[in-house]
Amino acid sequence: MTCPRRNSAVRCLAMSTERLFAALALLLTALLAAPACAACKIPLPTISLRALDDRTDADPAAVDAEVSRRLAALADTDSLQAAELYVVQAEAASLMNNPSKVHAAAAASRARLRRLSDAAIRDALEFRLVLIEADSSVSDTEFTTALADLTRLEPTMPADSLQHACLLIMRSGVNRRLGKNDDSVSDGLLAHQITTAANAPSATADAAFELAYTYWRAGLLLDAINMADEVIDYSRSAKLPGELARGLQVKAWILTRMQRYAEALAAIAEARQLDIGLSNTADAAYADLGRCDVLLKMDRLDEAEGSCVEAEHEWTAAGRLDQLPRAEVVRADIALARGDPRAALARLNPILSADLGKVPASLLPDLYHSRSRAFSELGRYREALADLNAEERLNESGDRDRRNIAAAILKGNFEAEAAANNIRLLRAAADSERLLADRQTLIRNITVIVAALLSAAILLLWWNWRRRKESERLREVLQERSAFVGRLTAGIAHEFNNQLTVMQQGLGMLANRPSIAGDPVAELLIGEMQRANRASSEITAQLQSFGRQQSLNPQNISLQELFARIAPTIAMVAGDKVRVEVDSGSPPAVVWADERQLSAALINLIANARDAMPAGGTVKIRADMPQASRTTIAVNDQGTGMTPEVLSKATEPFFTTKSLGSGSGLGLSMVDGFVTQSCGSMRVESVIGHGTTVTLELPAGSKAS
Amino acid sequence: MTGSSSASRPERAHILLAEDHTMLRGFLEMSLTAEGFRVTAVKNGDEAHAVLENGMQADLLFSDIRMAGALDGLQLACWVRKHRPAMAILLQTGFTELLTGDFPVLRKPYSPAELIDAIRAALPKPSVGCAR
Repeated sequence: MTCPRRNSAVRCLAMSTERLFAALALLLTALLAAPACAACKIPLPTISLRALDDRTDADPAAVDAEVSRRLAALADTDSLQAAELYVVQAEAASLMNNPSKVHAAAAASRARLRRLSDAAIRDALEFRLVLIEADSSVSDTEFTTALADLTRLEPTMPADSLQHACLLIMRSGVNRRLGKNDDSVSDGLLAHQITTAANAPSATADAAFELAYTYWRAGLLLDAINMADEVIDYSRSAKLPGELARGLQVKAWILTRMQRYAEALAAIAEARQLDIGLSNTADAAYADLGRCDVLLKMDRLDEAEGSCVEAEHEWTAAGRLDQLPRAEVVRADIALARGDPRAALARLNPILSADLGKVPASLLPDLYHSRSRAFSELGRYREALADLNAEERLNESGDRDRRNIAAAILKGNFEAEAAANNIRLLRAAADSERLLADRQTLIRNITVIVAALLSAAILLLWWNWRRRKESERLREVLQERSAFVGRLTAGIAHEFNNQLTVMQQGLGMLANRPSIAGDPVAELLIGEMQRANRASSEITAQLQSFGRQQSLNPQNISLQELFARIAPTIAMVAGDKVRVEVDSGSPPAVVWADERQLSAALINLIANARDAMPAGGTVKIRADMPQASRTTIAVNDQGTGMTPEVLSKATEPFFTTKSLGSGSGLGLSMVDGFVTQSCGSMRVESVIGHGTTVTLELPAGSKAS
Repeated sequence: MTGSSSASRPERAHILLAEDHTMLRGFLEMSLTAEGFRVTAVKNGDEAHAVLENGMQADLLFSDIRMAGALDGLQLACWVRKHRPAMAILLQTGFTELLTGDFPVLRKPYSPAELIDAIRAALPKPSVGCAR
């Protein structure tokens, strides 16, 4: 990423990582509101209502009024028609961005549906309701409900039907929104397969669109662009201008993230042309806003502002006044790029002090983000931090760790302005962005030898980095690089796994040879080789888990409950000689973290404590909440302790004091990585002969839930 | 190690093995043949697809996931499920990938005993030990 010349760390970091995600999420969310798959709209059973139903897309407000009129005139006994009319009402409300009305209408429809005896009709209407509700979900809770509903309905439809594909397309989007990129891709791929086999180009384009979006989300830009191209190809050949415009828009955003600005602008121009051809002024406005954002990144500020103004005109013409803040936030960013934070504040303050219920929910994080930048430019760090926190609360979980990085850095700035560090910080961020983009091609083509050489080189970089870390606060940003090393490591581990399987198969067959049976030396040698092979497998497994891109899914965890759940594992890891005492604090502490990773981290620490006390002893685990916002978990042993030298290297990957073969040296570095990624910190205190205490400090959870 | 030998309990189930690692393919073929299975080994998804399209019948597809060519293991498995519904499927991988649909997956590395267990578990029940 290139950064503007002015040296505010917050602004630059924001330009390099935040804006990309924020702006794209904003526009794609808006684009996604387009009706998904035509096959999803199962015709209403009552033929006379179908014409009304078909008009909903074009004029939801008029259809809503007509539905209300008909509902008032309807006899109380006509449950079917009432249920259908409420379905139409829910759809109209969804198109008018009124989620509470969607849910109310869906509930009313379901109440009528329960009175119907025909299960096929009930299922069909329920399917439409679930799709509509999923489509208008806003909060995590609603998306979670939508996911459960879709999953519940899945078995009711034939596996290779288009309806199933529609459901998968919708669920792919819901999964992505919940941060489950793997599930999202899985649904998208299956939907893609079904729609391709059914020769349904419009649905195929929809599936490809979901895949492109999720790949983009996951940073798999090459895959994303392939899928976007597929959306474009399919909709071009099937002459679907609306889909084509959508595909071009997505491609433009991917290209923007790849910094291929000229191509992005060309795609946006074509999308805009199509939108205008379709008289879709609102979408044309999105295209203009997209153009504005690209031009902003290219530092062509006057043209960028022109596009924003154009977008505002188009929204006004389309009667979509609610969308105007979208343009305002980008115009505020333009003001920031011009070095005029006061002008940015003047744009943002009126929106954020007005009734926030009228601002598109997906936009709020960006508004706070931009204002936070403006405040930080003006040296008003306290307000900047407050806005960043507001933004963080609003943001979807997938973005959360990135925001935390920004918050952590802003906090650092707040304490002392370390201007000299900023430039290095930016380069590191830029480097890791580039490395990430290259990695897909790399991993595919790499041979064992090249990978080994590369990893050695990268390990050198890594050492180098660890040394600098002591004096600089770069850790958070550079973790991206460590993730890259990790993925590379996982690639190498994969190659070794193939070789190890060959050896295991060979040794297995060798052991069964008649000439070996009864030859004690040969059996001993084979047994040792098999043992060595198994030990190597464990190392590759650990390399892989170290390298796995860990997507954290933090939630409120009561430590009392967590300790109870993992008690059997703790007892098993501790063994006979070691006693484990657990104190979950009073009142019991609550932590905000990924449960699976936290459990793994605790078990790693207990295993270390056990190994430090070969003669046995007591491991004490104590949770506490020293401040309302922080929770600490301390794991203490009375073992051998560590010298200051060992202590200083304890969190380096591959560092171990254990005898060769009994530990891989990845445990503590993984715990450290997890804690840092969770916006916390790890402290290791050790006194030779008296034992070691590892303290994890993590964000506190809220007790309410 | 692997329990029975081909002489004592022949299992005539036919396995289509797709694996791009030459040495591993050879060894797996030997392991499985020694266990009494009939094995057709091919070196990628496209070849597997071609032999099936040419009318070859098999009881089980045992395929690596990451392979070069138009069809990777997962795509191949999906094709087989659709066009050869009677055929059982077992995938193997050395990666930590999670996107494996609902297909059973054998994680590399594995021992010969684990291999045979996984194959037996994946095969449709009637053809296990159906030896005529």
